[in-house]
Amino acid sequence: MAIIERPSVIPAAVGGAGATALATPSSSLGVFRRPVAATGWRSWVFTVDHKKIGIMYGVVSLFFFIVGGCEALLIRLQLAAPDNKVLGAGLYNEMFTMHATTMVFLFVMPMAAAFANYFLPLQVGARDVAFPRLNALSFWMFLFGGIFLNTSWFLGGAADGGWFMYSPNSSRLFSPSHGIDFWVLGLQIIGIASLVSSINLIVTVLNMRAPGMKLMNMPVFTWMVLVVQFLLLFALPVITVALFLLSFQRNFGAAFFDVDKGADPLLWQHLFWIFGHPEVYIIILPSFGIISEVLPTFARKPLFGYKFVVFSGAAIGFVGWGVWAHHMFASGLGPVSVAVFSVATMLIAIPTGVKICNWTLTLWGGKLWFTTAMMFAIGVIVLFTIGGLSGVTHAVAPADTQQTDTYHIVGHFHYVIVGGAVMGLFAGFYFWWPKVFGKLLNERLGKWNFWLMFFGVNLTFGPMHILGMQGQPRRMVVWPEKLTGEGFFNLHFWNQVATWGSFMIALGVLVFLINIIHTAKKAAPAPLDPWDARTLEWMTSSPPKAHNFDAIPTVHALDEFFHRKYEEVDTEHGARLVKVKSAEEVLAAEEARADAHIHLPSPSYWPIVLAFGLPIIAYGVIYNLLLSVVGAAIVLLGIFGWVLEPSVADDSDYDPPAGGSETKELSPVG
Amino acid sequence: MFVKPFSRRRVAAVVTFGFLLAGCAKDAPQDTFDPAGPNAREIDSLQRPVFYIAGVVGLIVLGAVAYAIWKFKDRGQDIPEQSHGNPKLEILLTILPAIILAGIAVPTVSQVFSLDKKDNDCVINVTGQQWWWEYDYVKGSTCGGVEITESIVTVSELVIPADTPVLLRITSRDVIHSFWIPRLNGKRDAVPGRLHTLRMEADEPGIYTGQCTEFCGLSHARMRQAAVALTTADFQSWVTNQTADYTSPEAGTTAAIGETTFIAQCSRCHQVDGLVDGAGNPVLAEPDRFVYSGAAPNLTNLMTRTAFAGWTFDLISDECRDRLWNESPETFGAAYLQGVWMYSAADATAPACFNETNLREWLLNAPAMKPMYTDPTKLAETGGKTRGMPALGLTQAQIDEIVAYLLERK
Amino acid sequence: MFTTGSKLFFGASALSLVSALLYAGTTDGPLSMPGVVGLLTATVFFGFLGGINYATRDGNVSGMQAGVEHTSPAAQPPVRASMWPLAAAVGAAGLVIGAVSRPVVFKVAVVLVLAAAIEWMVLGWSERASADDDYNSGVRRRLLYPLEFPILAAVALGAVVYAFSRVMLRVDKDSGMAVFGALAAMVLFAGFVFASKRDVAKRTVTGVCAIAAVALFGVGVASAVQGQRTIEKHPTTGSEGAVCLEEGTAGEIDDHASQDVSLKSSVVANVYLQSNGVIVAYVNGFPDDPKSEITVPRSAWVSVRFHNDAPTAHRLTARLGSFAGAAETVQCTTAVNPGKEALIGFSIPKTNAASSTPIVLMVPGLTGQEIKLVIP
Repeated sequence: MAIIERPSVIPAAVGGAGATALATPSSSLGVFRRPVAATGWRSWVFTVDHKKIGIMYGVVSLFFFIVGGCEALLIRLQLAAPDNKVLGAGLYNEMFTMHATTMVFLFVMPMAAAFANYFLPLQVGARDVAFPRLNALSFWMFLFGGIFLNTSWFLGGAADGGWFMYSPNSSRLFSPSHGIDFWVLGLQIIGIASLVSSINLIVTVLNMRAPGMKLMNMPVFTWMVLVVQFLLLFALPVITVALFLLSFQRNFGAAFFDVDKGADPLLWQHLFWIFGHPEVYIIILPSFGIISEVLPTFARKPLFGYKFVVFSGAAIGFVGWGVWAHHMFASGLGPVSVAVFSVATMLIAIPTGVKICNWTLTLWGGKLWFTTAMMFAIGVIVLFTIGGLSGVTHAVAPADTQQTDTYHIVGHFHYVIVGGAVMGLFAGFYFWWPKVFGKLLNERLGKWNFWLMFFGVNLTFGPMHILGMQGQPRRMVVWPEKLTGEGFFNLHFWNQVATWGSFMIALGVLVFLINIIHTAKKAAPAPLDPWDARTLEWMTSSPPKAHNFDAIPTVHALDEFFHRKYEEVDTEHGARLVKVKSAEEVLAAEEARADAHIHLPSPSYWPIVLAFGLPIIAYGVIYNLLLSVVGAAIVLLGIFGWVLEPSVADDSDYDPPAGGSETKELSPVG
Repeated sequence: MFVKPFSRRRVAAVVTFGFLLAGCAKDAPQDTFDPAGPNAREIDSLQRPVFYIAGVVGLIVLGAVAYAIWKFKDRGQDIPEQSHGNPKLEILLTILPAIILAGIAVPTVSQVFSLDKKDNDCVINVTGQQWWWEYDYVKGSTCGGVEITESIVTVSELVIPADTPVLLRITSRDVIHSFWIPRLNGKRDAVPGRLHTLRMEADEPGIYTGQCTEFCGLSHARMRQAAVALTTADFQSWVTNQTADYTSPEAGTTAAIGETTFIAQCSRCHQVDGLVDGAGNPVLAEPDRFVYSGAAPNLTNLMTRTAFAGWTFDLISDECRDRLWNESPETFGAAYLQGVWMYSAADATAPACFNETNLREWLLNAPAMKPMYTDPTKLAETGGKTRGMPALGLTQAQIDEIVAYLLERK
Repeated sequence: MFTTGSKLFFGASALSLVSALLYAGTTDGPLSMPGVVGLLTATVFFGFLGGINYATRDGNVSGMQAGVEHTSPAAQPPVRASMWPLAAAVGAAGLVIGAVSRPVVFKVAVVLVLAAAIEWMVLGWSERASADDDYNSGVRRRLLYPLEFPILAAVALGAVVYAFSRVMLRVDKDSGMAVFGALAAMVLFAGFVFASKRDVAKRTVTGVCAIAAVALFGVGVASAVQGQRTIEKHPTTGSEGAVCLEEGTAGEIDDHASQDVSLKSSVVANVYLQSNGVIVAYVNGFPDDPKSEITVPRSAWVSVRFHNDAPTAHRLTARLGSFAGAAETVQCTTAVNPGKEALIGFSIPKTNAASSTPIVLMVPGLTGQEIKLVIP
């Protein structure tokens, strides 16, 4: 019967230049080949390269940022005047639900994933993430999940229960449109994406660090990303369960939150916030990581108290699990629970305060270089301090019963999320743009970008503190003329200020987009090491080659790259730090010991196929289970294709054939 | 490349100053820094110092940042020493906030318990529903010396005796709502299947506005409420009026025709206590058959309230409302007890303050004024029951009759 | 045209499709949709496997690479031990036995036969893929692992859940705490030991986990065989009027079950049946002042907690009125042992005035004592 050739001898991989490439079994099971395109759209769609995936994450997140931003502007327009009629009540409810959902799940989290994907392997000196194909799968699931979620706008209306989706208001009885079904299933898909990605990154950090890089030598960004991945790993299952319960209640007649059948709707609140509060740290910690890279670079001194910053990050990660009920101080939990969670919440302010002190002390005694990235990073310190302190005011539970669900809270968490997370991401854009694209973003436009956003954030969210304390609740499509008041703190004036501020932020973002285009068209290539940077990702070309490093670097210290450039030299004035090597020289030294064999994974068709099946299953759950069968078949096809595809592209698939080439890329199974 | 430190400071100062000033303003009716009762005052006495502490800490941190920016900007100095920190300083900087927070935590915890007292002589059931609040005064309560011997059901305006602690038992008929009168106490969620308590007390007679603060669906923004505090004497008159026997309109008047129209059009959902039909049988509303949540506002004394439909639309004109809201505690009760007849001459036949427009529009097409789930094609999930008041298709003549009838519900 | 292997799968696919159509045409009711979906899934799945076989020409390389049949060693079907013939036989026997005894046996047998069929087919094919055992088992793994792993993982998870739940249902609530506390401590301890001793052999860890798994499953099955502790069928809040109006008896009480309630903090009233046989209500808001009536809002779900301080078992019954000529609505707790408590929840849609019977809380067997419910 069937006969297949099997190589009788597998030549061992031999190090050193000039060695022959591995001979591999020809495409073991026939038709399935791996894509090989290195250019054109195929090189992106089928890529498993963490850098390309990182860029795609970034582009898609930026798109959703604009979508969510437009939703925010519509909300602010509606609230600019009393009894306004820009949006109807139903549409307004959909708008704020989707604004929050989009910004949290489709912008901040995936944008952090973009940075993590691109820079985490570079920072730990790896050639890729641990499971490259899973990485691609994460991205495509996120993209398709995001698109699926937003198609609800065109299919009878988006979710209208608020991003917290409290039961029983989220049941079919009270929200009969399909919006919440789309929301639930969309978040499930995006949740799987995040879960897969978190496992991938954890394994990468724990197993694939360059030789010599101990955990306590890892850059802070990598550390914070690691903490975030653990948070994701434990938080996502909780929301997954909650979403399943809600899904079963809406689509299959279960009664998990049905009061008439003896359920307690507070169950949802607990499940949601056990996920939802760690989610806050999932959002903010990557930004903390970014500015912990930016500040030392432009202060020319190491992060003050590296260990304290790392441990406080980890401490936030732990204590973050014990404070969820502070979202429920008005829910009627009883005084004992309220007191305990109130104190726990204050506790978490301590590690957060430690971070702020450490950043400030990093600036202290430095040699500060105010690039746009640095300004954004300092902006984070300023705005996050304000946001954190207003957070302390509602850790005080009795005060929170006045503040919760008012604009005071909206002001607080936007200072934290926009001022803390988003400004941090912008610091990352300006800092790492030359690394990713080989060109420096325009600094003049960057300053405009920063100041517009900085004042915009303060003008938009500062007044919200006042509005909230003046008794304007959240999530209200209109606020009435008769409750406006007349004095300095009247609602009308401050609502208008907030609306103008929001357009100022929008203008800032527009300047950023213009900056991107301007840079892409006009800017000259950036120098190799434009910021005199400190960490490993700068110890390679910009943009990095597909294999990241010609030779895997050996790490001796935190801020390895800096210590290769600078050495302490004794002078007549005592010991001074002197630049002994340029970045080019450091790089040349590395190139000299380049690895002869570089194993890189081949691209794959199957992640995108597998991911594509999931939204189809989800549409099937909403409209017709037969469609789910089709989706499941696609998923099955994806799984089999994944397993059956050869572990490496066949030589003959390359054009010209790549056989025998020294840099031939072979793959570990990803 | 140069950052102006002053601009940063100014922003910080404005924001902090904003917090401080917000505490002194007395200009918005729902100002949480303007407590009007002991519970809210207790919260305020904790909240204010926390704001001040936060402000001071904020100023110190931002000041330090501003100073560092100015002092250590690159003026060509040497690359600084690559020091990795100072553990002693860091431990100090960890302990310091811990001490401050401990200082805040102690009074917080004690206040959490002190605000949770549950015993009272005056208990009122507060029931939330999409999108209005119903209050029923628990039989056997003694409110400010006034004994509640007969149940009273009223809507949106919670009338309480001033200077008397009242206990609210809060629950909901459908989704989660939250009851909040900022100047009297913090908010408490109304969760279906659960019953939460909240104490409320106003120092002086007056009107204290509030808003449902837990997102409760389509018309969440139009679910408002108010607490009205009256002197004990005024409260006694209010109770007497609420429990007074029903009087039919004088035969032959429009109002009398209105009574028949009301029975035909409105009474299947809206209760008017004491109302009897032509045969002398009591007319009992059955909102549970038509409204998903199972209740509709009781209209027995509609014209004693100043607003309707979830306290969203005024029953009195804007001028009268402003005048009423600004009455002194001494004169407030007398005006309020007149209902829509307030500020009318004693012999007036028509109430001067009555705002007819809102009520007529509402009767003509309620869902157009306040979004509700009344479209019959979209009620499959609730078995045809509405959530809110549907448009009844009344003629102008019918509306005239009903308005005339309702005007006598005072 | 079609290869041997693909014919088999395409045939199975066509059969499933025909079955799906027949099933859809002939079956109504709740099973029809899942059934059709299941059969269509089979159609797609077999079609897919057929497609693979067709595309790979049954994995017959000779069909694709000219001349390879001359260079390769002849395929020698290796004879290896296989459990699938046995499984198939057991399955077949199970089918027969199940058909005449219990349906569950039949169902398990169907699954077994299906699994055996698929595994045997793929195994048979893969063992002839080449002359090399390792390569052949690789081929088999690649084809079946994507199926086996998820299914076995689900089965394993199911087994764990099943075993745990049987144990939980077996032990009563007091020892349950001790048993599971100890178990959790053991797991934690093992985890701690493994984490701290990094050089511990993989085999040891595997062994310990395997023993634990077998032990868990064994105890689970043993518990299942012993059966769960008796749980009285009587509902906690019954609504059978006849039962509710009867006196509660100790016999209906499930002594092992917890009579504790989750809604402790949010009841409208605590109703006490005192040792002297008098019923009093401590209403929320008046904690020190017993009342004989409770005001509750209409159409809102409220809960009342019932404490039995009398020397014998009693139940609390809520007579919730009869409206517009309909029969009286009655709800009750199960009987409550002396010193214990139970919860009852209800929602009354109309006012007292609309009811032709009184709306009260009462304890059957005690006459003349009622707590009035006032629905304004």
